[in-house]
Amino acid sequence: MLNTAPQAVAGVIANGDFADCSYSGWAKDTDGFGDVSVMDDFTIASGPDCAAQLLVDAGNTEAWFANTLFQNIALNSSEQYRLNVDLSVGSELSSADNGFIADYFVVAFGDGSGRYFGENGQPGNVFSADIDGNSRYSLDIMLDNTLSSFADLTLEFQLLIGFDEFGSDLAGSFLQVDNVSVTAISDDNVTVSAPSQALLLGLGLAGLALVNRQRSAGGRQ
Amino acid sequence: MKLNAFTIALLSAGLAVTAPVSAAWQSLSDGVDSTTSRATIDRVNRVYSAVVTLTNTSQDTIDGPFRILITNSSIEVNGADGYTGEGIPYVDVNAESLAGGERIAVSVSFNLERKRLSFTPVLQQDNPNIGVYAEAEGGGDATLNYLGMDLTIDTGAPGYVTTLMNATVPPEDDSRVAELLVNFNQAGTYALYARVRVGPGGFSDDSMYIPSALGNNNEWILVNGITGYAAPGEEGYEPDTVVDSGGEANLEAFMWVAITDGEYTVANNNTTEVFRYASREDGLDIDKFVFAPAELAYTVEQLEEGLPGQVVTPGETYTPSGPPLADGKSKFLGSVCCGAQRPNFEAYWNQVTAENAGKWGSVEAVRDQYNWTGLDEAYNLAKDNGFVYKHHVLVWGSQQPGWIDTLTPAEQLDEILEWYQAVNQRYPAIDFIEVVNEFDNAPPDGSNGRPDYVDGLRLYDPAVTAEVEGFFLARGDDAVTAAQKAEDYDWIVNAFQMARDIFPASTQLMFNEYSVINSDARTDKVIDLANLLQSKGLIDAIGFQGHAFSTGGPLETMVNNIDRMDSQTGLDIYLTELDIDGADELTQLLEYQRLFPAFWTHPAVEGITMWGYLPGHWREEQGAILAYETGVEKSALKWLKGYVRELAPQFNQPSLITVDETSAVGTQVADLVSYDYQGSPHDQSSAVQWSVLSGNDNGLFAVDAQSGKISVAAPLSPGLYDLYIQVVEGEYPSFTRQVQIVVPGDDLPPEVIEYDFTDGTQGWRGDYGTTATVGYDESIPAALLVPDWPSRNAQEYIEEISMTDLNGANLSYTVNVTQGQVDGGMTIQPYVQTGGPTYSRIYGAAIVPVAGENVITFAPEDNSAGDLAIIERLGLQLNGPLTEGTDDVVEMTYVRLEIPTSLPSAETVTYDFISDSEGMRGDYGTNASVIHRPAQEAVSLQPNDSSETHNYILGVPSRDYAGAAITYTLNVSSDLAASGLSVQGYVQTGAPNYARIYGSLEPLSAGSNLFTFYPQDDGSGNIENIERIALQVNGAFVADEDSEILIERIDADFP
Repeated sequence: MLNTAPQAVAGVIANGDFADCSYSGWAKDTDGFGDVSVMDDFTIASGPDCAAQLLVDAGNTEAWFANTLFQNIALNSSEQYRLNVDLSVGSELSSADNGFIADYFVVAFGDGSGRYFGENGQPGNVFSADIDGNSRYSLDIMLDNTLSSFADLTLEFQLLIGFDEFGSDLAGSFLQVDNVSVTAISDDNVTVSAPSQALLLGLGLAGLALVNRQRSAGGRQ
Repeated sequence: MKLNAFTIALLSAGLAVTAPVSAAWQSLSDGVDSTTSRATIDRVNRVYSAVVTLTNTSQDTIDGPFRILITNSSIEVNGADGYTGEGIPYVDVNAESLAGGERIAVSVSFNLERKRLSFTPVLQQDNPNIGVYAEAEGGGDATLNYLGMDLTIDTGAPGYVTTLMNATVPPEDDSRVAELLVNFNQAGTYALYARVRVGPGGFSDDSMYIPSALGNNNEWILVNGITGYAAPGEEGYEPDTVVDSGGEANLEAFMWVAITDGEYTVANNNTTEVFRYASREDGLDIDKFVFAPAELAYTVEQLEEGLPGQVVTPGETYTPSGPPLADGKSKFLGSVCCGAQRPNFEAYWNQVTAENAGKWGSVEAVRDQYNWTGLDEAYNLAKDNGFVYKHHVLVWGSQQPGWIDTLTPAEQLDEILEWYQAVNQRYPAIDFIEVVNEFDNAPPDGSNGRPDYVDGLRLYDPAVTAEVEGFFLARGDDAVTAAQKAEDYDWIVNAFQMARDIFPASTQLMFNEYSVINSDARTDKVIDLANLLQSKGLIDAIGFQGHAFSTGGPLETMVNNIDRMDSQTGLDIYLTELDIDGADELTQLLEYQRLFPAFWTHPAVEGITMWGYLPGHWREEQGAILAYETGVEKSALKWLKGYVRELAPQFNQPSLITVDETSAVGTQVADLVSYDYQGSPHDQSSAVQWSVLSGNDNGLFAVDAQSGKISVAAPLSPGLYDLYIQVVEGEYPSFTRQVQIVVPGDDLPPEVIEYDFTDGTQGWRGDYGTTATVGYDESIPAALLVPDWPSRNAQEYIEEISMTDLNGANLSYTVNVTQGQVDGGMTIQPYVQTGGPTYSRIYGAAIVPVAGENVITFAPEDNSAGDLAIIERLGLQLNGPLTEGTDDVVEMTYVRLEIPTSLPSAETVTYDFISDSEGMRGDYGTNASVIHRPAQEAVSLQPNDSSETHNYILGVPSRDYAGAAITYTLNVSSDLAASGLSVQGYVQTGAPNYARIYGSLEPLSAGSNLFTFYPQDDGSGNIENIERIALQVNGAFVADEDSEILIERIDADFP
């Protein structure tokens, strides 16, 4: 259920809508090595509205485990904030295909230590889901004030390769991130019935282009 | 956000419940929900990270510390906070507690591998209420540091340590010692539990040694007669049983045992301590030990599963105040000490005996190495407080040094002399020494596995043998008998001669024996030996033990044998090892009241030693303790205090109360009158408290707590009701009296005793001395009669009951029998049995059962010896041999004993001496007389000068006294009671022969005395023409108004 949209009074995310069709304001990481990828791990989805696009487990990617998009943010402890983001995901294979192993993504806050936290400031994450075919998510989540105490707070979007005991399915998955905002809200205008609410739209994304790749691991060592 | 809505392979939610038990960490399952997040990449540390979220779903706070075991992990944990003894990684949880509904989340890191991460988190609580587990062969929280060559490890399930060696003395080296290194997380005081299995040899397989303290010490404590509670899954297992120092032997079943002598202090947190233990008898399998916080109690399940114990509700505690009960009396009342029997000793007892510490095997287990620790404590306790010290024991056929058998007789004699001299040197002021213990039951003659050093003793003076033979020949024994007695007693004479030569003249010498006064034959032996020793001036006193297994029979037999020892030896007599059992407090109290006064007031008995009184008592299982660990006194001890101190109130009771069935609620049926300890009647202002201890479960009657008035409290139905009533003044209760109330009717219901086995075996057991055992199956429920057919063709199972007259009784057993047992030829035979020493049985017919349920009824008939009136056991016997079905058990589902209600006599003639003496007088031809005391509404008995007998008669109309019961109510001043007087009721015919029919000797106690005399036909017809009711006082006495015997009432009940 959508809540009545509160009035946004301040923004702490830079380039949350990727309006300039770049990663300006964002940081990228592949497998903990930083922004090292020279292939298609991080691209910009073009179209009427540009968006960040993370890709894993595809032939033209470098990540062995995960690609992470993140941005340092600072929250004022006297304010209450909410997170809004639009996410689109898709996978080359789906659960209807033999050998499918779902890749997955996570939205979380970081504290600079490497650990992830949820919107309540507790270890965990804000949102996570398997990627099984194409789906779209819009998150509208109230944030707990404890996050403001994190000195090195980051907002992170992590796309991970799913494995079984022998490895991955070598079929790519993408995560598009757009319209990211963390905004302080006026109490007078808040009519939120619950501390957090993830809105899962689950719309099919027919027509989204997915970079196909060779079903071979030969390109990786 | 709960993520367990998503089900992918990376998620692993839910707590495992089968994590290994180690130290105080307890796996939690109930009340805690767990979810696990999918793994993310910790890009800073390049590891996988997963979050385990724990939610306390209960309303109760769970105390930490906590940790999470990461079990079944597909990828190695990165940066674990530690690993269990089994190598399982864990991470600590930074929370001191988890409140009801509270949730905490913990991140766990794993190495980066391109494979699916899965694991099972197990939340554990570092619960200080969980014991520290030490597997006997190493394991749990212990590692095996050393295993003696005589010990072996069985690696089965469970693994255990056992031995094939038998040794009855403490270890002299480490050949049968095992040493464990035990990890303790927390400092504290720990009680010791063990999971052990006693072999088929029973008492030959049920002992071991534990250390007196942790560390490399060799001060061993003997743990013998091990009893406990069957472990889950074992035969005899009863759920939810708290493991205390009681329990049963549970042969061939692993059981949990509370070893009360084992209490250990750990000084620091996180330390490793040495724990040594040693074998003693083969056949004992030792699975594991548990060191548990001493202030907690544990059930068998809690110990078995590594669960926390529960705090024993502090409840009532009691600290007694002295002085000792017999302080200032002419005879002592003492106890064994010390160890578990040490607390509050000085408040109760004024004589000390060491229970085990004074036995040769305890002191000199290793030749020429003496352990005086326990003996020092007992001796010093006595000397520091001015108590009598009695040493137990110099020579015995049990608990002697193992090495003595390896010596020649000459060497033995040297060692015996050394032993005597060492005792004398260390303890120069011993008041009494039991020179020889159990000379007849357990001499050191090499029989039945006993040590053999009688020849060593004989060497002290070889001429003694001939002297002993001559002594008995001179007393009229034939040559064969005299020679046999010389062989039986010459070594004893030598043992006493040595004692007389070594110990000072102030030390009194005595011997000690059990099952004496209940056995005429053994009393004869005691008298023989005492007179022999006395002829040589070697003995000062006789000791008889008085354990409960020997005192269940008729009091008259026991008193008569004490009389015989007294009159035929003239020696002082000591009751050396008294204990009195009781399945419940009232049973023990009534038995104390039956026995103790007879012993205590006997003029020849100069002192009594209790064989313990606190938990840890060797007959604790049989209810023989007198106080609990909290110090709270059982009913018997409360009564004993008042009785011995002569401060107890008294009360008289009507011999029988008859109440009409139609009596309205509120109708008064009796007004009990009580007196203070000096005999002054209580009035309404007296601070007394009346109470009914038993017999009023249906609430038919009410006893006013202040006045003692008994009234009808509910609509009545015909029956005979036995109310056990006492009155308490201050801290002292009176004798508990059985007040009988009869509601006449045509069909009085019988007294019914049932065993339905809904809460265990209810006391049923395999007979003593057999390997038959009784298990339990809660699901039926039934007592399982487990046979051991290879051992014998008759399998006997018994239930011990208080001495009961079963004339007219009916007994029925409901048992389930297998087809195999039927085909195998088994028969079932009920019986009832008297107590010791004869243990006579009265059998029913042997029944051929059918497969399935059988109801076997039995109406026992007297054997003409009167045994049916003194039954102490119900029994069931399975008869073989069997050709098949030998492994089957018989399920006993129900036992019912019906005892007919026989109303007391239909007519009662009462002499109450309210207004005059009612014709009571001193017997003709004597100087005995009576004085009427109007104030006391009684007659005072005046002595027959200095005679030892004084007779008082009451002329009555000639009448047949067959079946009559005559109840005397006396009141005796304390000084006369203490002088050892006794009385006998009797009836007497008239002219010309004035024949008397006597009742039994009744000891007198201070205050109110009530006894009933049942005149028996002497075969001459005298009982049909009785013309006098009479009383005889035995013993010289002087009477005045402050010191007298009063007859307050005589009731003659006629059928």
